[in-house]
Amino acid sequence: MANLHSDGSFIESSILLQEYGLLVGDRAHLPAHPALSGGYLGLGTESATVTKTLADIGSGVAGTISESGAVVPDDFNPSTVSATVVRKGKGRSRSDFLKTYDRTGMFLEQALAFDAASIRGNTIVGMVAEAAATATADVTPGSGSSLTWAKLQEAKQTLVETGQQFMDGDLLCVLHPKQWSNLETAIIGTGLGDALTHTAEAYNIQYARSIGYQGRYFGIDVFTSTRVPTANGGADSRGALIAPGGVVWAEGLLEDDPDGFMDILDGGRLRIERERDASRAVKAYYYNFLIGVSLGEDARVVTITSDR
Amino acid sequence: MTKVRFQTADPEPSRQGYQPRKPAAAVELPRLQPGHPWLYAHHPSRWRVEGRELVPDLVQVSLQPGVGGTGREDGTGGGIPDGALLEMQRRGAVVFFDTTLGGALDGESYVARVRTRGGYAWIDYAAEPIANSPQVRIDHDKRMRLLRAVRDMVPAPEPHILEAGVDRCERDHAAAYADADRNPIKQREADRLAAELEVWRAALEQSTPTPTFPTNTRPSRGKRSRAKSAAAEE
Repeated sequence: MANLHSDGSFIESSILLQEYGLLVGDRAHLPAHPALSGGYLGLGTESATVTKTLADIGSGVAGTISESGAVVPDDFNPSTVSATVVRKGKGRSRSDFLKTYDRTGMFLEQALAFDAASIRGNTIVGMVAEAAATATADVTPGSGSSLTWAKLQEAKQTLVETGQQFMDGDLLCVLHPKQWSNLETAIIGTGLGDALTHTAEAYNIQYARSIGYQGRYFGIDVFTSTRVPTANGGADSRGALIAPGGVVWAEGLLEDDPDGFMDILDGGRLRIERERDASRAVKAYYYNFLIGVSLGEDARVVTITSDR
Repeated sequence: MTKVRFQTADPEPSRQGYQPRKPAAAVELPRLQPGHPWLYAHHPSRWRVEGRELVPDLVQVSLQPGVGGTGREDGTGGGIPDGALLEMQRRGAVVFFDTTLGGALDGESYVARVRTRGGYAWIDYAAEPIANSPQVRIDHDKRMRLLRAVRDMVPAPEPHILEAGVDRCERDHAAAYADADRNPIKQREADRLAAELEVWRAALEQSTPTPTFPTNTRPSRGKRSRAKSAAAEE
């Protein structure tokens, strides 16, 4: 590959594009999860509110019609959901002497791609957790009490009781790491050890650990984030179990600028710009993306409140 | 050759040798997660027991730009989540825009900004940050003051909400009690749930007065017969 730029940015861009594409193409990349892809509202611009009306397609049963009786059509039951898109950005400063070079002396582009994908993923997980925390339904083992598997299962059962239809792998759970560690402790308490472990597929997904994926349990994909909001004055965390459509989101695409120091990744969903400060021997990286997340169908989310 | 020695932070000569130490400010700051402010809201169906009282279970509506229809930052670290608030009010929730709750907290706000490592964190009225810790200390008296103030501002829970609370608490208590004889942790949980159950039941009893059925005012046949005989004798 020809190095078209004296500072190596062409090679950097190519590797970055490839590595980032691999990370966001993974199922463990949160927006690709069925619980969130089902609530995708589309594209917007910065500060725009993207609104979509969803119809209850596939729900309901046929009525019994008497002989010569006429069927009266009823309307689809629509619900309008929306999300406001804003710009999220983060800057990274890398000194020339930072020890993240590989043995050839090149900065690891994989690390940069991983960093960018993680930051976008972490941001989205946190926004999803905060949006979901306003849902009406809640399960809790009690303030200050540890989360148990029975309560996680109760949250799933609450979704079943409100008539939500889902399959294994459709459900997304976002918990605070403390809530998750309490669940792990609860496994030990049962004496079952690793009997409740994840499927082989989920085991592989664990290697894409960019956004706190913990595995699949009882058909629920569990993610952890320290951005899960507090509850009960800060004594507890309020995670959430989300069925498809429970959380909706919209995004925006950023355009390229032909100055050679900008990379547009994932079709415009993330922009990385480089800035060189020779006087300090430092190169700065700026990540920018457009995103908005909201609670969608209230009945498709159950919050989970337990010790923080 | 002169040996280069580490400079200690202490200007006085010390016999203790080099003591590595962090800058004082970093040690004193709490390690709370930097975040965004929020508004408290209350769904009519969400109640919980705290301090042996039935209190509203508050929901935090995040003011993070991009969440729940919130636009750009307004300079305070948050914006107004129009979409989320509209949706919550449509579902019958009460949103407390006045963060002082009408002065019920002595003019203090129910959400406060504190400096933390890496930025600012937002904490509850009753929470006290702890230096060098990701946890907060909860002032129980202030906590109950906040919850009582909110309770006075929202409609009382409907009987069916209380019935659901009793059912849930009974179920949890039964599950904990089943293991209580061999697990002290479950014993404590069962005791706590038993105390909570009392509160739920008392609240349910208060909200549903004992039904009064029309009583039969007509005397029984025996009484009528005796009364008739007595009248005849007179």
